[in-house]
Amino acid sequence: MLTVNHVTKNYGKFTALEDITLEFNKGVYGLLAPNGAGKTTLIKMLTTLLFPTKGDILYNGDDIIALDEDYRDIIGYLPQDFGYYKNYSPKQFLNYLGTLKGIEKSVLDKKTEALLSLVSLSDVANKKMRKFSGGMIQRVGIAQAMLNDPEILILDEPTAGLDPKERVRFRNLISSLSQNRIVILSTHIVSDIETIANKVIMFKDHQLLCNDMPKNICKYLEGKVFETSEISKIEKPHLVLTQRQEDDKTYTRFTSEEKPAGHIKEVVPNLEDVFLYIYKDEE
Amino acid sequence: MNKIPIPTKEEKEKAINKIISNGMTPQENFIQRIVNLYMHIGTKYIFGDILDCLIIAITSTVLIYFFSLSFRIMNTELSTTFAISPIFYIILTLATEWKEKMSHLYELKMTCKYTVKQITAIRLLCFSALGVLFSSLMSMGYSLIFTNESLLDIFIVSLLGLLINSLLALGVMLYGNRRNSHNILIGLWFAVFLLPPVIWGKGWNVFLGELPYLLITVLILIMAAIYLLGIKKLITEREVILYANR
Repeated sequence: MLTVNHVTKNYGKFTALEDITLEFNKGVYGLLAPNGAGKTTLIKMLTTLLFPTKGDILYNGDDIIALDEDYRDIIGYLPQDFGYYKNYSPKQFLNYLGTLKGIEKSVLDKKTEALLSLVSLSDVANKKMRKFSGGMIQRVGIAQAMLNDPEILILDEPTAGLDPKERVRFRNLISSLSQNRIVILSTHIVSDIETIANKVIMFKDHQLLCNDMPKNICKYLEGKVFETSEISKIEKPHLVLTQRQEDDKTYTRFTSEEKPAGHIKEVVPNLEDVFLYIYKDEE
Repeated sequence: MNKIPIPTKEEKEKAINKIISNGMTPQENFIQRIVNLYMHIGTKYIFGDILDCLIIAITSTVLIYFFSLSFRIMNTELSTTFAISPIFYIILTLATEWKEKMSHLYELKMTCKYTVKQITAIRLLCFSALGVLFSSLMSMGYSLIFTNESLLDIFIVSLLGLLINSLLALGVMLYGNRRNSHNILIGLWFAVFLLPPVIWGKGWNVFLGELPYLLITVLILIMAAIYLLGIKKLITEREVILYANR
């Protein structure tokens, strides 16, 4: 179990995260918040790239900073800006990082082959990565994160810059990798985690807002989300969430404390509704 | 009924000590750590991706040596040797650091079992050894051309310069701002190695020539010891990146 225990992170006078307490058990956790909310700071503390200003992070009761090399040995990390050597093939690159991860050479070749097959890159295993698409590079990224069969897999904005098809493929891949390990996925794209996250963690004003199952989070707006094609006629105070086109009409999804009169349909709130509602004041 | 013999106090202690000695992994010392790191990572991954940096450093150093020989200022051989001795080390360190930064793999490597900092420490040790080799070659070349200085004088001043610079570079890596490390390192080289001959002229050359061998030898030994301690710190100390994408 990974425990974030009353953690605060300051950069000078700026507080990026304040008094965060979380527990991670096996399963997929989605860190969902707009850019600048502190997701990356938490991810960097979980990967020991940053140290908390206050509080501590424990893995099975031991401080991850004290565990040092032993902790790094059980994590897999895909950073937001995933760098790679353009002149390396995926196989060379995985062999290189596998060596840095302390994997024995006799095991590494087989592991590299298996992972490249898992991320559907076996046919380009020996091709230089120079001409790879963003999706292919991300798949190399997830393969490198899995090299040491990590107990904790940490992915920072893994779907940024991917096209919809690649994004779905990536989600399925993460879902398949989430057995028997903690997967922490940071994103500001709701659809990335709506279907695969067991729990969603949200921050607001640099503090923990919620850490719950998506269906429980959606209950927050139960009975308050509606849809209409005549939004201009709504007089009660409301917040427009999203719009969609159907049969030459524009349907507007909105939230209001009470159901307005007229041709209004109450709809089941989804995670995106809650996200838009909670972060309505933020850019 | 079988009677289980109760062990004596000595037997108990002996058994406990045996369990502890068998169960505890012995701590690696510094040398073992370096050797094990090198053996595991291997020459290919320690130097393979910086081959271009090595070529740049060798070429630049050779060019600078030739340049300094062609435009030598008479009677300042020791000043020139002192100033040029760290060039190879500086160029190699800066080029390697620059390449690491450009690869955008720094953070990822810092989360691996063997971090980029540990690899850097091994590289620095190797760079120092290569630097000593270059200094020796340079000293021999200089002593053939500058006949008024002995090979020993030139070699010892060259080694002193190299060690001072290596210590400064290590200090910048350990305590400096990573984002400005390149500028700080170059700035220090100007301040420590180029400014004195500019300010004191031939007096600096005379000063370097009159330093007692014993003093220089003691200084070199002390600095070498501090350098190794610094390398140890670089290998064992946890590093924190100084910024984050907020």
